[in-house]
Amino acid sequence: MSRYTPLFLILHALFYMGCSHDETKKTTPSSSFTIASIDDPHTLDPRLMGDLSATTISHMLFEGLMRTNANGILEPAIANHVTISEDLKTYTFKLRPSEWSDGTPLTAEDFAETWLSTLAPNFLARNAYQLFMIKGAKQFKDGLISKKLVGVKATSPDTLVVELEHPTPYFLELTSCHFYFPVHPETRSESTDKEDAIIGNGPFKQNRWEHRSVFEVVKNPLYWDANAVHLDTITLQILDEATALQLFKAGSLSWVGSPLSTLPQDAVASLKQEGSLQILPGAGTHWFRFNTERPPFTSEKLRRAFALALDRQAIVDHVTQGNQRPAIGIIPPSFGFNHQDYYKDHDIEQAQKLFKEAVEENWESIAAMPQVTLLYAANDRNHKIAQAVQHQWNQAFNINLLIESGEQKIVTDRMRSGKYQMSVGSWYADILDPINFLEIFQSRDTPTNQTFWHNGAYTALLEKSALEQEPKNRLKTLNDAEKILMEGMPVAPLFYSAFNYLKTDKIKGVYFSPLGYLDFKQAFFDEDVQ
Amino acid sequence: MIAILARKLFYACLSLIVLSMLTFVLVRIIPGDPFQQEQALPEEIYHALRHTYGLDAPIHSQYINYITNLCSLRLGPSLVYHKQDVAEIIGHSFPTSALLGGEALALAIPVGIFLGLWSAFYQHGWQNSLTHILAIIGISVPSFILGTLLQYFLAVKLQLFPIACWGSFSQTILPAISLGALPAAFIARITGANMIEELKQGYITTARAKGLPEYRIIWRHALKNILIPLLSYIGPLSAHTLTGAFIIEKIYGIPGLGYWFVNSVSNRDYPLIMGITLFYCTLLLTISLAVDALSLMIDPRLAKAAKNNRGVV
Amino acid sequence: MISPSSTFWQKIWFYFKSNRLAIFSGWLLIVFIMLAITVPFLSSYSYYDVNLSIKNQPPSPNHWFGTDDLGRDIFVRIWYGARISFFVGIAAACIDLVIGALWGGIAALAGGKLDEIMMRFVDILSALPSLLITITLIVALGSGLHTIIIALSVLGWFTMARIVRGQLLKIKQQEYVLAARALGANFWRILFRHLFPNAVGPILVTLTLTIPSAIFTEAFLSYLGLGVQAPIASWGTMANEGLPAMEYYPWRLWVPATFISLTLLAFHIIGDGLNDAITQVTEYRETS
Repeated sequence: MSRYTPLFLILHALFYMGCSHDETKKTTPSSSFTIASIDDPHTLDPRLMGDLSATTISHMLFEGLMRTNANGILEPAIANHVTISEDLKTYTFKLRPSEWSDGTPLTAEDFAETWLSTLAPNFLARNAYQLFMIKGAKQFKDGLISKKLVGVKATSPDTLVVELEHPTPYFLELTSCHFYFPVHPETRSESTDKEDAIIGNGPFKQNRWEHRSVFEVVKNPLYWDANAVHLDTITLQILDEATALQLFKAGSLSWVGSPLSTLPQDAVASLKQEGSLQILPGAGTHWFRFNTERPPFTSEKLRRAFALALDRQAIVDHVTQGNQRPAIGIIPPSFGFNHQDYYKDHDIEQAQKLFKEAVEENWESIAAMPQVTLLYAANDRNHKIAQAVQHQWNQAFNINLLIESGEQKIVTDRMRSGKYQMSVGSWYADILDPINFLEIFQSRDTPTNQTFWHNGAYTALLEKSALEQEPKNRLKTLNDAEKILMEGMPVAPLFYSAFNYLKTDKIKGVYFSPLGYLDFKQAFFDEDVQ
Repeated sequence: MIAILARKLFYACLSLIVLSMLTFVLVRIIPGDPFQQEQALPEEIYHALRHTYGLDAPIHSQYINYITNLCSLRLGPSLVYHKQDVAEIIGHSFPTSALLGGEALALAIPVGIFLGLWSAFYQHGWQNSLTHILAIIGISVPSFILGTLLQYFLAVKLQLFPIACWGSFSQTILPAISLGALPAAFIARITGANMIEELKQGYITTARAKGLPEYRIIWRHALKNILIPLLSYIGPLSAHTLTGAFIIEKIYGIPGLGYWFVNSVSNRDYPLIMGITLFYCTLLLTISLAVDALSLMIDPRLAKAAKNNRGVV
Repeated sequence: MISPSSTFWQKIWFYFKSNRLAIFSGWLLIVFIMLAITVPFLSSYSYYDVNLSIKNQPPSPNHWFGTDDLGRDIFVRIWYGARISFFVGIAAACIDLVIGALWGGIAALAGGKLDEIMMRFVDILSALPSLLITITLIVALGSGLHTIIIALSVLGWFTMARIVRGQLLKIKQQEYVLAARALGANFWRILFRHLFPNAVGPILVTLTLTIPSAIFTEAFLSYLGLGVQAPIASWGTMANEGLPAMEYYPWRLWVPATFISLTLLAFHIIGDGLNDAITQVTEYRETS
């Protein structure tokens, strides 16, 4: 004992010493809000963002020309006045006086320079295409014209003039999105190769970032509308979904689930039953992609047969259970895009009829039809969906459909290279306009298409809609395009997404965008709620 | 003895180089790309990104580039987390994992050895059976089930411990127990089995005949002889435990190295995968060397054997 | 009854028989295996029949173990999963045993440079991230049971090699080994005739510890999409899927977890029983 005791004692002493220095005090002032997130933001620079954690953070740290308030209404933000020209192509923004969180004044120049930096030919921003409606933007990106010819100019420190390629009814809304946020001159200068903090102009400013653990912001006293901000601190806690739920139930978290994380699939049903589950329609559609260049889904009839045979209501009721809505078209209803029902859910008769015809036309008998395999990325929900639809299709058509799960990246890789027949997928809109969905299928080789479906008439209609001046005509053209898409059925829609989350009853005034970000500017704790 | 260790050090460095090459090639062979996600990327940007990070150069020049940077201890930036340096990521997550792993080992090694010796002492008694059962529980319940159960019953229901997160001592207890259970069980079994074998040796009978009490025999004499196989097990185990068990970190919300690593593989974040793998290997080889050195000190016969460079053939 | 002329294994069986717990465990495993073979044939449910309207039901006369999240009967899935788990666990452990024991044995006996090179090789390979190796294998060989077994074997033989080597290093110094060498026995004869039999104890113990490890690594890999394809499931995958549902539908976790534990307990007890029997035989041999 004598020889080893000192060693053990020393080791234990070291642990105690090392551990006790960082006691996190659990004082929770009522204006401190904690939300669970599944991952660190991948970047803090709004020009480069792609993940949901980053997007929500950007709305805390930054503000654009416009903003959507807690009631869902678009209102002026940094811009306090907008004039739109007669031809709907020129927007003149008058900026109110405001500052960056380090005290530097914010000018129209900041906006113009930021957008131009995003469009710079060497700047690798995923989202650059969101700025392509600005005149000359795409050409500038492709290196064909110079910066001066792009349609965005700061004509004075408080005036920003933007010229568009064609009238874009949703442009103002775009300016409230992170693609159009300004960044500080220091960020633009790319002077450091580290990004642990960023200067913003929004209602909150960054306080603390412990990677993969905590991201914290505090109220920004230099924000132009600081009086309207009620929360003192917002903390993102990086946690696994099951642990996050436990912490929420224990009262340590104020919000868990969409958009920054997920709720365990098995918990959703009972949470709904207790009445604590919050549900919000989302702007996304889950679907099955068909590889239209690979048998058997080269047959349009077969694709339609599979689409019709799905019992979407059953999936929504028993598998996902989060009040998603069965999809009978591509575009979620939350877009207000008026379309008729393209087919009936679980229309077995029609499905079997089409199936029989497809088989007869192409292979003469079922036996000659190639084996079908459904590919999907392995996660809890997809496992369940895949097994459920496998059963549905096997029952409907008396075939032996196989399912194959793969690791996410492997699946992505196979889809890009067309090494699949059918796969589970989804699309979440970047902007609340139907074109965002429809342009996926614009050409065979659009990166997000992956079905290799294309149709000349369809592409022509989409191009036509871009030139439409009158919003009503434009929507009609898009509607016509959607009809063609539903005939061709390169994807079989499954359900429209819904955000499922839990939040403490005390928090009010949070804006939850259908695009999947949260805006806390006007959020507050209502102490009267129990 | 120095000479022996110097040779081992040489081989260790060689191993590291081979390993770096293997990993480097392996990550680039497997399908999947750091930049492509489910919502796909425009082709030009994809190619531009690959070019910026040097991924379109031929593989041997990429490797040489990597090694050159490695010599100045630059591990490169993450491909997924914008402008986060790999060396810094390891720098702030490893101490967390090490603390967790260290605590788990500080629990597992003494408990394991004690239980093993105890069961050998009472070879034919209930103590042996009890140890067996405890060991089996430790082995047959995987860490993620144990972790979740402990968290659920002790933290959520009984509220004896914090549920998750990291920062205070009380938050380290449940994760350490969850992580340490399996090693403790293994160690108990191996110690027990080896000790029981050892107690059959001739010199033990002599000691007993001389009237030495059993516990003294075990503790003072037999233990030394089983230390070497024990050490050769504990060595790699320590390296593995110190670099964090991904599952435990996930369940308890601990920002450790394990979590970064598994995610880096899923994300195909090449520099991060390389950085963490090399770090882990260096740790492993260092611990192996330490174990070898310790073994030599404990059993001088090994030094003689190695010095003569004997083999049977 | 045994006599000096009984074979080694006859003697082992004699001592083993008297260990009632071990015999009981043996019978338990045999029962499990029989059920694994017969139940999927005899049951009126199949392991893949999705029936969403009866999902997540607790155990009842209709479904002895309840139903899972897609309405499938858990009783039949347990026995179908038993096939997978047993097969994977035993196959992987055996392959580990062969590769690991040979590797560790050769290294220990050879000593010197060969030993160092071989063990360095083990150190290097065991340091490679297992996830990486598994993904590479899956891509090269396609997903499925055989790939899982190969992946598990590749990942698992290092421990066996180390343990065997550690064990043999000790034994190598014994007098009978020196005697055998003096008599001119060749390398392989010493390895197989003198060293291995005397290391059987710890090797067996390690074997019984490898099987559970194999079964659980399989579950982890399956959950990442690198294992058995749904709707086939092993006990490990069933436990894995039941874990998030523990609070709401506890039987989905407890049933597979209990079976896993019972099976592993049984393997352990049998391993120990064998170990005891072997030691008794070798003692008997040495003292007679």
